[in-house]
Amino acid sequence: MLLHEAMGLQLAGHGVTHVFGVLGEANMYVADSFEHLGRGLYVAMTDEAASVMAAMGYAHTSGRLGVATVTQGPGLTNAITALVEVARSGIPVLVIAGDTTDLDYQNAQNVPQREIVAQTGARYVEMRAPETMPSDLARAIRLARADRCTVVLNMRGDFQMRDVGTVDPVANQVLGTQATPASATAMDEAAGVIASCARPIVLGGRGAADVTAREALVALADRLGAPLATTFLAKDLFRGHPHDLGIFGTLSHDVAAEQIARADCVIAFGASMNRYTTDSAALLKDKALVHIDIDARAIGAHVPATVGVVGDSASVARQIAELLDVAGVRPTGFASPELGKRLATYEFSYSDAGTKDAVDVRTAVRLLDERLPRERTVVRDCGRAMYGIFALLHVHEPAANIALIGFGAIGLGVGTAVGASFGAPERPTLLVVGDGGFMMGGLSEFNTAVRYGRDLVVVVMNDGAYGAEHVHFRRRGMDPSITVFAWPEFAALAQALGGTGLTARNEAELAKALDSLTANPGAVLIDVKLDPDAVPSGYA
Amino acid sequence: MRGSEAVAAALVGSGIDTVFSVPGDGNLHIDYALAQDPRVTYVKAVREDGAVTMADGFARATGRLAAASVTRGPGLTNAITAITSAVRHRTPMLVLTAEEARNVKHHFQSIDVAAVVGPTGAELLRVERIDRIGEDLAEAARLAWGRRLPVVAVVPMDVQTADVPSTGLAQSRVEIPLSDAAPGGTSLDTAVGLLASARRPLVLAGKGAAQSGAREEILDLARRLGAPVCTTAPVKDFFQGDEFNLGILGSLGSEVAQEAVAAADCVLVFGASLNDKTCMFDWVASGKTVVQCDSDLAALGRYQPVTAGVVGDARAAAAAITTWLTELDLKPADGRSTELARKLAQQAEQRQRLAESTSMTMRTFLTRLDTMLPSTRNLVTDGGRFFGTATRCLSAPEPGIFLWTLGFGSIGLGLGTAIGGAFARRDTPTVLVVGDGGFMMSAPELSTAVRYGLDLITVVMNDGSYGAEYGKLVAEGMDPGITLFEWPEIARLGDALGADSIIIRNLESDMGRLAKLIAERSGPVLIDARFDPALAMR
Repeated sequence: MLLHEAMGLQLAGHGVTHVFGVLGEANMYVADSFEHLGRGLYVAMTDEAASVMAAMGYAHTSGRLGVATVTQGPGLTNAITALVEVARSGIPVLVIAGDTTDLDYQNAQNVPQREIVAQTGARYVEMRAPETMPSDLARAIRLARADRCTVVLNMRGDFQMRDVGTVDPVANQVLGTQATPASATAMDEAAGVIASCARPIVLGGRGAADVTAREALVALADRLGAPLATTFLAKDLFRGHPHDLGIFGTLSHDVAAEQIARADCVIAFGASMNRYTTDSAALLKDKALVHIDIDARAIGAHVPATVGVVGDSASVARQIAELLDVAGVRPTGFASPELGKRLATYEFSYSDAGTKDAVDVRTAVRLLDERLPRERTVVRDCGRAMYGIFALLHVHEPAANIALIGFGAIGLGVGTAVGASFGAPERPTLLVVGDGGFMMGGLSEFNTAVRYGRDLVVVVMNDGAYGAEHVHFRRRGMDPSITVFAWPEFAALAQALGGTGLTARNEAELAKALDSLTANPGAVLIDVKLDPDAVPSGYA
Repeated sequence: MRGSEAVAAALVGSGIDTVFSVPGDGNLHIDYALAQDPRVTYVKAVREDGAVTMADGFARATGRLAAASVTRGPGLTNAITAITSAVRHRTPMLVLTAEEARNVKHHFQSIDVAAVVGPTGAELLRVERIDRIGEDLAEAARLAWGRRLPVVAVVPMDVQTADVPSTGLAQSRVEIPLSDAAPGGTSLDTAVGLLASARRPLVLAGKGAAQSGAREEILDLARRLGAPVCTTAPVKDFFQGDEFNLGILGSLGSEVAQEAVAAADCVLVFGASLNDKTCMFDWVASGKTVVQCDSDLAALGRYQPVTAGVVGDARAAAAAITTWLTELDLKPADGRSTELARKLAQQAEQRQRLAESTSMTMRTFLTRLDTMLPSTRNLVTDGGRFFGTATRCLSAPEPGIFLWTLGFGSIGLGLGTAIGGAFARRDTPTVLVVGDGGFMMSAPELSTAVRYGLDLITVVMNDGSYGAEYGKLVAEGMDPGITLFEWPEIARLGDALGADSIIIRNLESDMGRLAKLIAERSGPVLIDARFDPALAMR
């Protein structure tokens, strides 16, 4: 059996059903065998960056390993930005990269691939020889899943045609999180700190974003009389709870910010406590921090904790509640009925600045939130128009919320959305992207969504400018014209790319466009015209 | 004066008059100052790889130093393929980028710039001292020009925002001429001795010969030697017009050229690296004498063994050798024979017949297209299986320029290169030949050509597949299904991007419309030429 045939079968044996890629001679035979022998779906993207992003999107919504493949040399270098973004996401992704053979040093596509991968933050596994393919592949997959990281499996292209005999599948066991008892000393200390506080908040991060942990955190918060909040990555975990403050951090709304300011203790589960969550530690000033994480390395990584507890979120939350019961600690009342009332009646208020030719971005987001199906995947590209949307656009579960904020790169959204849609095909995928981002990385991949019949709605927040940069100039009283672009009409582009293109110049047109979606299955683009001088920046 | 303004002033001082950029918050203020300067043409690209390939094309088409500007972090990483490619084209250019202020501990766009730039082969230079901005950038320009490679100049944000003295800026315009030194006597002596005893000499010219402007001197020498002439692919039309021009030698060469190199007993080489695309076998081992002349000592014998090396400028060396041969009163060999003239005429006739063919293959279409395009034009080829055919069938005789983009073997870099070339030579139309996959990878940049109203003719060789990979799978007896693409109508996409576009399916019925489109164009046009992937290469 040739290596590419064996590898196609092995991928299937490891449970891989989707591979996103761009073909070249150094990876094409494996992709072919994955489809023909492994009975998997090879999704042909247009650009290597998008194929890596699609693997991440797929992994994010499906909870499985995402797999991409790129060819040697430019195939890998085209994916560098995406590799950095994905490596920072904490989502398990395997990238199979072809490489030139050592015997062909004059090959134009020869580059030091190990060095290129090293600086992205992705891990690197070399396929050592054709006969070690099964163990190298198994090791790469195990590493990606166990460490929740991005792994590049580097494979010399000429290995594909080598005979490797018969190959048995390699067993690959990766366990999920298991409940483990936390240290009794640490638990005592944590309970002590919590018991002595009067105004605690229970904060859930991505490490607590599952059904079991949610239930345990809510029970603990109710037992303590503490309001609940989430990090941005666990957004909407407690949505519907009367004392849900929403996002804790730089994106908090007014009522939440006020409550956070008054708190004297934060009990954080599975949250990194990075500079966005803590507003560079300012939000933790004069507060105790009880930091719970399954990974000891996470505690103290960004801010010092008063007490650190190593353990899984659900068990630790239950144990804390039990200790409080034993000690007879009384609920604090910080989550007061009055707070509940304020949260229930809170509405983000603004005065609509839209005109007949421009939509107010806040109104646009409100309409998206109201009129799209409640169960949807939301992918957010990077850019000025995105910040406000972070808070105002909701999801039904944290796994449905994908934000591309790891590397501050625009243009990675459409590829991500295509993959996310394959990972959760039962619900529509919404991508919110700026005009510059769509032009940079979206155009060709929108056609990929068309080719594969994805249920994708791309909303281009179009201010005809690199908006973040536009604001810089305006604020300084400088001429912003270098940030302004005379783009082509996006709706016509979407049509030319084989999808549906709609234009919304005002609120009524946007409402109409959104209402027409049920009649327009497949890939749809809505070009939402904004006024570049009217877009508020960084509001929540 | 702010640091960002000093950076812009230093660039202008180094002779930069055109900057290709994607503005982001890291390069914004430098860009602003550049855009305000009436001496600078400031061009906004859609993608960073586009901006860098534009600068690459601009530098190669003008023979001058070019500049691109990208923002920090992802702005730089988006440009890595294009920078690697420019390194391999030996393109002198500056790539300006930024980095966090040095007192910032963490920024989400942070990346280890040195580690990112290292594998590309480009030089890296940090502009870190606010009292030396002008000097440091002048050094970057000197380095780029002298070593003929891209230099990534990193300007930290705190340097950009600092107040700097507006006096004392280095205005060191980089106009160091390329070396035009004549070769030394001993090496010349050896070379002339070898040439004098050659019976079937052949003269080969590469990029170094073109850069030196050595066409007439080399042709004089070839006549003196009685040798036919040929070139490497990147300067393929260098000898167009000479009666005994064999065209490209090597993997893209014609049968006549292959026969000539097989029969030659001596090859005289000017400014060509002799890599494995040009030398398809070891010439010395097969009994030939090889005399390689290059201005760079390190180029001699780099890829292939040679019999003798001559270090010197191609033009000066060719003239010196001619003088010596004349003094020796050497009788020319009979390489420029009527027999060869007959073979070349036959080749031209075959080509003529191809132009009259009505079956739509890449060869027939491009041969016909060559007769329909404006006679003076720049030619840019992207990568793909059409590349060899396009290189052979289309020409760009002087004063046009031919730019290839395969230094790094990447598809999708042609459109940016063509835009840079079009900015460099705005009075000459630029023709880009690109595959469907390469076009889809770079399509957004067509809107840049539209925004700037460039005279760009984009020819998409559309076989609805990754053709090179398609060919390989078919050759392996495998199903080529995974290489096939249901692309959108590329002509329709061209129209939506603002270029007048046309679909060509048939050489009998569609060429009239094509002639009209070319004649009446007033901005970028796109030709969506359709081929059956199974028949395209016939």
